[in-house]
Amino acid sequence: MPESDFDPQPTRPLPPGPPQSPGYQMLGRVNKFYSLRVVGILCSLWTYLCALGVAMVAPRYLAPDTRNFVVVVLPLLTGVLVVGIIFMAYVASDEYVRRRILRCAALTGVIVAFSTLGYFCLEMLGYARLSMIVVNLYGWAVFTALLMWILYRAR
Amino acid sequence: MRNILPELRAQRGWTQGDLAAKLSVSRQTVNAVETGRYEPSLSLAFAIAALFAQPIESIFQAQRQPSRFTGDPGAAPAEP
Repeated sequence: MPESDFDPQPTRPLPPGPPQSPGYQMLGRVNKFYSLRVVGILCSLWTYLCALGVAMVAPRYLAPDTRNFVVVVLPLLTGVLVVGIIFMAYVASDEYVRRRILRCAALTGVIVAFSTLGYFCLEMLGYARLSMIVVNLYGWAVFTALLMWILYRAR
Repeated sequence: MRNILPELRAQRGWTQGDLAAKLSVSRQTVNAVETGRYEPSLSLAFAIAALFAQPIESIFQAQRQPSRFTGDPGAAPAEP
């Protein structure tokens, strides 16, 4: 085994820091959780939802030449922004958290697939046809909830 | 896979957070490795071994599984 730079001798325990009140400790944890990546994910998701809302309303008010941009390109660009920020959070995580994020994405896929299948059976019974935008929003909500839980546990 | 990380950590008086900071991973990762819920990658295992200045096999011991073919617990593979 090659020479190591680390001190093989057991080091002294870390000196205790200044006494902190429970409220201060809780504040530190909360601040750590609301780190840049969590804020980035939430803000980009909010932008995406706003873009979807604008895309739903736009056909009523906009001229046909600008409608395509608002309905197609705007949600697509904000969707790319969300995926990009989540990918950056994935890259910034360590290997165990990465594995949990991948598992969370797979779990989201399974949940959305079974939910859609379940609603398809309800449609056969006469329920209203489900718009894909509902599936989209539902999937993102489930994925974001799972992702926030993972990042909260990894704080 | 069993490991003696909690003992090594306790010898040095480190918390899981201290060890996580030295390995540049999250405390959750250290906890998962210690409790056996996660088997670390080769690079993380090498980093742990270098940190404690011990060979990897002295920190991580594989639990031998019963052989699927013979039923013997921990049967060694046949010599060619």
